[in-house]
Amino acid sequence: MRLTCPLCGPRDVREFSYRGDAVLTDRPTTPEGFHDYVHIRENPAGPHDELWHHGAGCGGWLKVRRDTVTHEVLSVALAREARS
Amino acid sequence: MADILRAQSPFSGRLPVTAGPFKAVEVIPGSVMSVAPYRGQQAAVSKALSHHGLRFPDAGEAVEAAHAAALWTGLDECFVISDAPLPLNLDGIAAVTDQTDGWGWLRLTGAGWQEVMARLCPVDPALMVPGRALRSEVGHMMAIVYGVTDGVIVCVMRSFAGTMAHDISVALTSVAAQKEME
Repeated sequence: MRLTCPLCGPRDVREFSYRGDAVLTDRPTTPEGFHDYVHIRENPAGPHDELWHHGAGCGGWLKVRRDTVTHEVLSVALAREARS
Repeated sequence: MADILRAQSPFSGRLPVTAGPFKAVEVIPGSVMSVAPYRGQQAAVSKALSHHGLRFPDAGEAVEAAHAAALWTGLDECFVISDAPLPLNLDGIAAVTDQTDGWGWLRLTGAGWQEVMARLCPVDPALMVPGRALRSEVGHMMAIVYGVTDGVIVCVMRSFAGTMAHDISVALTSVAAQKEME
């Protein structure tokens, strides 16, 4: 598996760590929202937004849209830019 | 009187290693400064660096001047390496730390050095050319790699220097032995 880092270009998966569902970047503003934020996850068979850390490369956090059925990588963006 | 303490370089006693056409030697930059511009200050940092013939590098770029270079080292960060410490004048616009003693630098040369790097690093060695600086793994260690005219310079954290010297020695000895048999 390869990811095309927006800064480094196409790189082998060994340089990256999976860091969970991309909903983690949408931190809730109220205490009530934290239960879902911490515990509730979708488990789609199909496109899924997730976070990857390019620890052995640029150090950037990436928001990756990946098809969980085919493993096709649909898009990769810097997480800080994908949020805004 | 007891012998006084002496500074040792990261690869002291470990390099150089040579085999066949290959040579790995230590390079010791006079000064290494990590420069991380604060948010929105990248243009201001470039302007300040322009006094030394440099600017903040684009992703994957190495900007070279006569006695200094700015190597891209990651998201919003570069290393300014120079023969002697430079007055960078980046107060208030960038986080700057002195990394001079923190990293070990080695230069790999010899015809076919790309085959040695291919053993150690997942990035295509064809991308390791002058003017490029990239971050990747070399021998499972996070490294800075940049091209020079006759080979490549690999830079790892000082604490990895022993492992790096071992890995590069094994790789270049092995590739040299295979070339011998061709």
